Amino acid sequence: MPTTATAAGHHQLDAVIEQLESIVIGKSQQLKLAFATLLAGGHLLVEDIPGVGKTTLARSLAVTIGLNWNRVQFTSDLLPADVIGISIFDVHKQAFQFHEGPVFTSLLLADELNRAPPKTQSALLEAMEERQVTSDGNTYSLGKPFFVIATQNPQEQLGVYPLPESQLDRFMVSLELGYPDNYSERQILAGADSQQLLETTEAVTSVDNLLYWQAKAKQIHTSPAVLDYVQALLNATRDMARSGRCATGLSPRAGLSLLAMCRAWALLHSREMVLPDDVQEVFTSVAAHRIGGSLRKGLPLTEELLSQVVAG
Amino acid sequence: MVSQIIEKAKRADKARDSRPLNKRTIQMLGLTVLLSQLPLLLHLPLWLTLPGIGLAVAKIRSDVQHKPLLPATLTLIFVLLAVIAVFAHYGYLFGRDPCVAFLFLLISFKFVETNKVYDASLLIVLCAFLLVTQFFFRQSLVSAIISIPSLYFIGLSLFMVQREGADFNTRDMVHLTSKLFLQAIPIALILFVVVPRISHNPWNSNGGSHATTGLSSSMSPGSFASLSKSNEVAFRVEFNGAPPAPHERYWRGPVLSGFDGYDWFVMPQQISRDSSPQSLTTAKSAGRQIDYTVTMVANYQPWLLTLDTPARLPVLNNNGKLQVSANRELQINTSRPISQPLRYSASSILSDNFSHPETPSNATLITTSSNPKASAFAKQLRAQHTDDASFAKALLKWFNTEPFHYTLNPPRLGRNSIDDFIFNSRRGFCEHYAGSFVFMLRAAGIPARVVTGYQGGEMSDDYMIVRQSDAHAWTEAYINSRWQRFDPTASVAPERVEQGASDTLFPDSSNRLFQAADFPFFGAISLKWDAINFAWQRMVIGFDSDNQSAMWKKLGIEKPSAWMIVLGFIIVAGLWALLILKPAGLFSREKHALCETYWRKLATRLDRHGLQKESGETVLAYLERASQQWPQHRAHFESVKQSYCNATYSAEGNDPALHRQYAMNIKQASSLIKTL
Repeated sequence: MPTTATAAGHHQLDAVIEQLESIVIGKSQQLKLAFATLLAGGHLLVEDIPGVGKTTLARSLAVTIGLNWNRVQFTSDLLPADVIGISIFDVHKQAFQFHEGPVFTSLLLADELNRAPPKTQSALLEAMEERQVTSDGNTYSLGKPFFVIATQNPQEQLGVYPLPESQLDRFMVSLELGYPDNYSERQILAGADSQQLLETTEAVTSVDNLLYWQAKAKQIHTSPAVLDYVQALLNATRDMARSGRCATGLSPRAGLSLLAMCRAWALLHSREMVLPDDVQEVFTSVAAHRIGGSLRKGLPLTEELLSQVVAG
Repeated sequence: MVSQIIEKAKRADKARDSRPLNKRTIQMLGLTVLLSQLPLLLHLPLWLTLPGIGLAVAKIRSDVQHKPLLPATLTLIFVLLAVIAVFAHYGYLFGRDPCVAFLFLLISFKFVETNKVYDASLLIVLCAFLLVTQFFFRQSLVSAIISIPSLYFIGLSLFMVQREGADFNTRDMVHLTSKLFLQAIPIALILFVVVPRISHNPWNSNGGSHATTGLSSSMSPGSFASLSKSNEVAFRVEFNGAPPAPHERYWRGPVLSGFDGYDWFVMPQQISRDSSPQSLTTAKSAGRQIDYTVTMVANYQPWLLTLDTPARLPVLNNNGKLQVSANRELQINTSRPISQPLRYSASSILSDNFSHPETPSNATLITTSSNPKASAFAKQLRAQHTDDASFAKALLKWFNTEPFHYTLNPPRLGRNSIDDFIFNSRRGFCEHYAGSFVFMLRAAGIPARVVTGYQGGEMSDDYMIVRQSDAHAWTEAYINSRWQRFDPTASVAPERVEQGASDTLFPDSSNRLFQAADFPFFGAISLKWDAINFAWQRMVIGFDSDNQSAMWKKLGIEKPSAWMIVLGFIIVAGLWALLILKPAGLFSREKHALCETYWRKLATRLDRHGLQKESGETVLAYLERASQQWPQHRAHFESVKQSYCNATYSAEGNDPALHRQYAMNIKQASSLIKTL
């Protein structure tokens, strides 16, 4: 890839990736995508079976950047108040006092989101979209940055409430970690415990830097040629939906998400412009869960689209 | 939807030509090939059509798509074999039939080896041509109707081939093709009406064996019997005024004066001679004059039919190069065989005798001293009747009283056929009676000749249909300086003249295949069908330059010259292009930025050297592949990459000066990539 200019503080971006790779082994692409999602200001959905490192991914991101983080284990009896917080009558002050729920943090790991009933799901999803929560008529803003990593069980399992398409659309990116390859697995098995590693790891950058990068990503140039390509892709998904091969085509919001991801991706690769190649690299993670209902179902469709739509 | 499909097609256009066709398109092509071959099954020999169709079917059913079904050398051998076989069958190569037959086979071979877009386009053009060839054989309404589905499929497969590789569904294609098909109908109608006519059909002039049913220039025992079985229409007549009575419906055709002892024939020296028009006006006869218009089916024979006896030369409606003349026997000849349906108006005087200034030629007395028994019998009868008229009457009476049978299946006759017929078999058809009657008149010294033509005709609404089964032969004898008509068949089977041949020949319905009289319902349908066919003949096939002039006159416009029409069409096509094609973006040439132009030049070069850009491949990935294939140029490819990215994707690329600079970089780097 041609490198034109080095973004300010780029060595720190590299350092973040490097540190993440040392904790979550053998998942370089997924780590980059997760970090890019954070840079693009979106939320991340991880579809996977337990035990492949979802929590480790979330924690390592939080630790490396120096973010506060909370984890909520979603269960079928979880209530909205358990996520966003609750107002409790304070006897001393003779008034209701709002107790912030776990959502009031910078990085929220919503584990097994699809186990919770729809009401609780939508409470979180609303918080993700609006970046604020409403309780008893009062509105409380969430801090910046606010980043949700939700994990989802494969939907064939019992006792799940699958996320509807409208909710899926709120996740900018979906990922699948999958089993590590042989070499990586050996390193995991032979190496140090990741929990211990995380406790000793220090942040390599700051929240301020993250906010700067997020602002910076928005300024990455997107040329008409790239916009043409993105539009062609969007149209192709709609044609596909029309011919009945997938449920829905990509929405304009999805298009914006795609562009935001492309910019973050370009930033991550220290480029000041988006290339069609960036679009291709992030397209599946942005589009698959939206058009297919889940990453697995969407993957073959996005690959087909990428191979058919003429790239710039 | 149109613009969407066009957009998709544009995207798919680049990689299309070299890509193998997919199964769906092959099947559609196969259907098109089979449908275009179908109408020719009637006209070509079975040994040729069956393998041709078999090849097409095999191709449709085969799963081998990316390589030819047959190796090229094998195909070549088969094609050569086909040429030899066609030559062996027809005996010549450059004529209608062998050429069509060869095209038929060629299309099958072409289809078998078709697996690229280019082949498919060619194949579709060939199919369209093959579809036209059926009209060289027949221009009926039915052949027009059966060509419609294949025409539609030609359009559809053309579409599918052009959209090969684009993602579309077949329903959209069908929808669009149908729409265009319907839009094309008014255009086709206008073209049909407006385009100037070529009066002569070049396809029929250079040979081809025409399966002629109809009269011929000679008559031998048995020749009419085969005609009687044909239900085909010979011609149709519209009368100005009341149609003639059944016994007056003698349609005069070739007059056979020549006799060689067995066959009767038109005297050769009398064809196309004696074309002075006076010969008709002086052929006086008394009777009702009747005017009528005849629409003839192409019979590939050089004569016209008129009611007995013609009063003036018929006037052709399409005033082509065909010339009409009459000879001394009142046979109306044309200068060339009639290879197209023809309309002419004529007038006749309904009379069974006429005078003619010229005395009969010696040929009308020749008996060639054959058939001694008949000759002796005639002379014996002549001795009793010295008067010519009474002799003829006595002879007729003799035919009436002797046990002669009118039959379609007469027994075979020996060398002296007339002797054999009169004294042995006594079973015969009109030619037997006419032939033997003329022979005996001649033997008695009375000039006589056989007249062939049609006797009868069936009225349908306002016009008369005369079929091949109405073919008839009668006689004329020169008595008292007038040519008098005698119909010996009528004295044997009078109902032949009053009721027509079919009713006479098939009195019991069990023998008949299909007879209208028994089933009035079918009769009505068959007459209606004929009316439709007649309308087709008259209004579509017969729409000639005269009708065209008449149409322009009706519109109040001077008939425009061919140039005017061409100019008009260019203007209409131009307007169409401006109003429909331009908004649809069909010929908006993309304006490329400078660096895009240089880049495309390089890409075309790479493409030519076997490195094609995949549709989903980005420019950078493509260039990366190029530098892997030609590592010696890696630096230049990198430079192109760098400049292309900067010019196209970066913010700086918007600056014209910088853009230009990047474009120059691309140009320079491309020029350094010399050897590929």
